[in-house]
Amino acid sequence: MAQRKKRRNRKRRVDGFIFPGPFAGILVFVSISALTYLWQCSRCEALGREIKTLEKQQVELTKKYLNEEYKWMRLKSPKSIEESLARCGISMTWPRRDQVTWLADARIRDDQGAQSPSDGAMRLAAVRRMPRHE
Amino acid sequence: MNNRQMALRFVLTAIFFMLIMVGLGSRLAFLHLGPHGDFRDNIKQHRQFEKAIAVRRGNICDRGGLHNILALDLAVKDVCAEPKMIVAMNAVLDVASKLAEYLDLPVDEVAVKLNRPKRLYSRIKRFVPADLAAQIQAEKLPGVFLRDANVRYYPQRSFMCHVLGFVNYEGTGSAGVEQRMHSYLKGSPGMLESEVDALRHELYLQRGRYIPGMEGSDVQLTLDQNVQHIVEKVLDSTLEEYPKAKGAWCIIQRVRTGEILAMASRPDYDLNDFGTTSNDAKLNRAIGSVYEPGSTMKAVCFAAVLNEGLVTPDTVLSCENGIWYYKGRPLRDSHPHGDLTVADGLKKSSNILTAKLSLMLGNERLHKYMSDFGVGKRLGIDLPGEEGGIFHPLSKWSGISPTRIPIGQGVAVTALQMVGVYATIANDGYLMRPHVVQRVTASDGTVVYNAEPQVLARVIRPETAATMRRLLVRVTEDGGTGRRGRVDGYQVAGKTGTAQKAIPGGYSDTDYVASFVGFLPADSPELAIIVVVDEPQKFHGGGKVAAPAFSKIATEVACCLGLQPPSAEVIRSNSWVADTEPDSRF
Repeated sequence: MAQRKKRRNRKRRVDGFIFPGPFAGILVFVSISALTYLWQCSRCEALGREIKTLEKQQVELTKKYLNEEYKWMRLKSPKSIEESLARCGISMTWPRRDQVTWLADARIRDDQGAQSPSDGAMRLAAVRRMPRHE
Repeated sequence: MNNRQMALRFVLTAIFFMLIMVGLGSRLAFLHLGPHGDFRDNIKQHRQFEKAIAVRRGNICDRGGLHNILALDLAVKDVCAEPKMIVAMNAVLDVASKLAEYLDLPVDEVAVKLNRPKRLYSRIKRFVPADLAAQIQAEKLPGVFLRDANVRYYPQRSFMCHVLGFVNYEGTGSAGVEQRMHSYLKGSPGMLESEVDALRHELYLQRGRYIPGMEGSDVQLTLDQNVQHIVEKVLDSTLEEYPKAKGAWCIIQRVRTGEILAMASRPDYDLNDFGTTSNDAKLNRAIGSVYEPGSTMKAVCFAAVLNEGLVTPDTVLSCENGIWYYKGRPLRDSHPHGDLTVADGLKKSSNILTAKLSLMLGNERLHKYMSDFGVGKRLGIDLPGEEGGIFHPLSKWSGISPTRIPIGQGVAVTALQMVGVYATIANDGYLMRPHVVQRVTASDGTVVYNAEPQVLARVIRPETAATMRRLLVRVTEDGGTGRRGRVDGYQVAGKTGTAQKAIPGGYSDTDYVASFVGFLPADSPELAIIVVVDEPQKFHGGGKVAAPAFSKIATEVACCLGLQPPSAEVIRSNSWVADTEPDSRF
């Protein structure tokens, strides 16, 4: 079969420069890559800044927490509580023996010698009535 | 313009830009790879930084754990100023008066610090609480600025001071648990290597090495802060009653395990102000002060002769009507007695009967038993500064030593050793190692140290210990020397001690050490307690001075810990008890 000869269309004349397709493709690819890199870079920077801010925040919060804990520990020390009670005119004493009911620890079986000195277990005490306020 | 021209222009432009890029690239390559090493190093040095990341020191808490923190690190501020700027603004007096008002300092002292026209830095006050620092900052005083600082704080100030110890200004534990457990408490600092920009802000992306710090471990003590509070309160009231006394100290030990539940010593000091405290106040007398124990030592001799089977509690010996000469030297009883049984000899605290028992025992056996009870050697408590006492080897004993040492003369002990002797009797003859640290927990929750009860020696047989317990109970009964040491609802076994203080050439007639040591409940012992008062005036007897303090402490502590009296009615088969958590204190 005879080959058809490709003829140039003389009527269709185009003026001006045609940008080469492959080169444009490369340019677009490079541009997108550069933009992606920039975006990622700025995102990393932003994350870095955020991490640093959070680190600072954590340090500040820890300091604040410790300060509050310190105040709380001072407030609830036995001496402070006694002083507060005294300020309010409240005098508390330990319950009398007849106010206390002693409960055996059910986990210690009788045959293990719950009453023997070697069990080393303190008994649980329950206060039958409220401590006497004097 | 035709196509060829357009193409030529495009190619030329592209070549032009390519040449620029190649030029810049070459310059960059030249700078980075060229021979300007010093230049590069200089820039790199300025941009890089390396710093240690400080970590928080671990907390110290009582046996209740982190609910009761006794020592912790606190973020505070140092108040500083730039005197040059303040002087230039002619604001020295204004700033000084404001700062003095906030910091509770004399105005002239602050003004002197500020009135230094050439200085750029002056520290006005260290370790100012954050709240107060915030108020100062809000004033916006010219030339005044704050610096972050960390300081070890003790919320309860002088409470438990001799056990806790303190951390010096360099951050090193210098006394007490702070010193002994420093390696656990200090943690391990982290490391950061990174770069900064022109404004000295860290470039996070350039972080080279980041090793996070490991915070210090938390130390949990065996001491109970409520029990300790009771002890300290009673010691204070005892010293108020005997204001001329040089000091007083007390230990409460759990007999089965050797755990120390309370340890207090007077005089005390504020841990937050350790720098201005005398060394005398810093001394933990409970473990670091030795004294002649007097009659409390008799229990060792009695236990030894009973354990050897040389006598029984009913054996009768003559007490020589109050004075007995041995090797030409007189030995006296405080009250003359005729014949006494061994049991009554202990109850009446007869020196003569004790000396005779000691002679029956012989020097070697007496020395051996005393050594086995821990006299003259450190018991190995986990606190610095423990003394071993003075207990001479047999070769240095004089002819009358066997009659003096068993009555507590010519031998010096610490309160810890003495309470150990009685805890041994209470514990069926087992001497336990005393300890104050229960547990060390790392910041990630791992338990890195857990104290277990440790038997140091088995000194006497359980039967002998039981006999001794019965004999010591009689001391607190009517007619005994320790009847003021009784505790309502509990049988107390104990012994008084009234020891003359040794002075050059003999013993003082006016200065005494009064003590009472015992345990309760006598038939099922849980707690051993010792109270020592140094040079009380005008009364000086252990039964008069120390026994009442013992009684007050034991009464309150028994209630506080829920110590079951032996005669108490116990309700059994309570279903809900089985579901409850074990008592955290024991």
